[in-house]
Amino acid sequence: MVDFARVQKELQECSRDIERSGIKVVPKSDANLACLLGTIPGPIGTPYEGGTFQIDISLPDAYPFEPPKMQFTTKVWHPNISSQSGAICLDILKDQWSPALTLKTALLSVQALLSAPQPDDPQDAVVAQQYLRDYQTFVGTARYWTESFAKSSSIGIDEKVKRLVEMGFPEGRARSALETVGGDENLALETLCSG
Amino acid sequence: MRAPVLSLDSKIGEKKKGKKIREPLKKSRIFQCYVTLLGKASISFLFIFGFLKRGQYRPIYKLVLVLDSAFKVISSSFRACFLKTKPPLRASSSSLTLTQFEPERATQREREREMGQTGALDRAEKLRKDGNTYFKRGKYLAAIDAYTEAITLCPKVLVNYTNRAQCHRVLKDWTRVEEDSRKAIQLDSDWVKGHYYLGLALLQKQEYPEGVKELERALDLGRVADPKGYMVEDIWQELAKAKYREWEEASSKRAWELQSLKEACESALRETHDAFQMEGFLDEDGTTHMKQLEALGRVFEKAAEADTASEVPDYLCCNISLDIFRDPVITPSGVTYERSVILDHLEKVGKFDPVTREPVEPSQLIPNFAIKEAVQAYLKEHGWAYRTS
Repeated sequence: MVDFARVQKELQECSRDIERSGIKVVPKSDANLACLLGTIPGPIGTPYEGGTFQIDISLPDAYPFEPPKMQFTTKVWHPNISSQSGAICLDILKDQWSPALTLKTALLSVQALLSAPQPDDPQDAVVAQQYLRDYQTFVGTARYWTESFAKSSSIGIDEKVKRLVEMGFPEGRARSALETVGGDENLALETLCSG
Repeated sequence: MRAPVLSLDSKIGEKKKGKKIREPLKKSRIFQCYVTLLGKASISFLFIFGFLKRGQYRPIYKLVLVLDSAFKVISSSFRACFLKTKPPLRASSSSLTLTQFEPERATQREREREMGQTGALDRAEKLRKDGNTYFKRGKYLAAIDAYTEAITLCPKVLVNYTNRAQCHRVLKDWTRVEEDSRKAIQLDSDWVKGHYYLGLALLQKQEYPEGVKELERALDLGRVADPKGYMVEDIWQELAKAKYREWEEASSKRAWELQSLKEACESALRETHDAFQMEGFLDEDGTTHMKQLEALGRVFEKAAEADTASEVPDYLCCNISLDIFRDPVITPSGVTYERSVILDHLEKVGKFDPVTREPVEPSQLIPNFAIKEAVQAYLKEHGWAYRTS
């Protein structure tokens, strides 16, 4: 049985300093406190800056004596996060879990993981390879993914591609150009013109 | 209910006495007896089904008892007759063999008497188990009957008292709960359940201080016996509920007192203000009067602070349960946890301190009396912190 008294307290605590941490945890439905939705802002100074990432949290019965199960629902380009499923490779969510950790501290750790990727212990081998071999492209792709999936307010990437196509560039090239520069339309145009 | 069995027993006994000396028991006679018993058994089974349909379990149990002993009797005589496992009783009609037999029969009688005593214990134990089964099925009256019978058989077995008290508790018969738990405590003054139920009964009778005292005693005893047991948690919940109710009453009284005092102060201030106005000190007085009222408000807010529910400070809460400490223990790393929770952690997660990750063994946990006292002091001032979720 999940210790709901503790979960309740955690949620209160989390909402109390949401201003400072930017980390939000809310139950998906009031009926079941074992299914939660976490939100973390992308760390400043990283390709994830400006994005808001959603994480699906489900609490096992033995919580807090077992780690919460966390998975990104927002698509993320990161060596330790699966670009397909959103699965997170983080020790404290596995064997290094301690009941003294909370949902908030766990999400803070996930946020820290975004700023400090560990390509030596990858979850997504493709991303890790790119990170190690071609860091610039990695940063570009990560920024592009942040632009297109982690920002609901910004104009969709498809629209940018459409505009570049209207200018006379082939769609495939337009898309990859946008991807390499991280979604910036003007930079993409420059790349396309010079290339 | 046992009467028919006894008579059957004695009948067979008579036959043994009467006939065995002269000749072996006729096999046909045994068969006859067996058949009659089978007939009786089938009738009893019919009864059992009848009772089962009506959901009356108590008579069934008694019938089964009758059947059980009846079958024992018949099977033993059957064995005696057909398998000849016992030495033939009829050896001879000489007085010698009879006297030889006498002491043996005497010791057998003694043994039977002993058996009767242990039998009472066994029967009481069986009744207790039956009572527990009835209780689980929600047949509280039947359970009470079983426990009562067990108590009559063995009045010194205190479990039966608290078990019966538990039934009375469900039925909200608090006078009986009190009676039974007091009896249990009489038998063993350290009986956790006795103090627990007595505390509950006293609280129901509005005897708060005594009730709380009993629950606290139960809590202390329970923690020694099994700090992780469900009962400790239950007792705490009941105690917290009682304390919270106590606080609610006291605090609403205090709030009412403060409110009337505040109103009196305000009207007094207004009067002096009006008096000043009459005398013509108008200029600055308007602001001073407002300031005074504000200050008064602050003073009363401060006075009500302890009774205003807020958050328990983190240093009085366990890092894992996030709840206020009840039975705090300190690890070799110097971090304090709730005992039951850290024990759970050491068992389920691993033998390390959850905060520092230093190795910890359950035996290394030491009670943190300072924190315990701090919690008690805090709870005394802030009764709202007893609120349970």
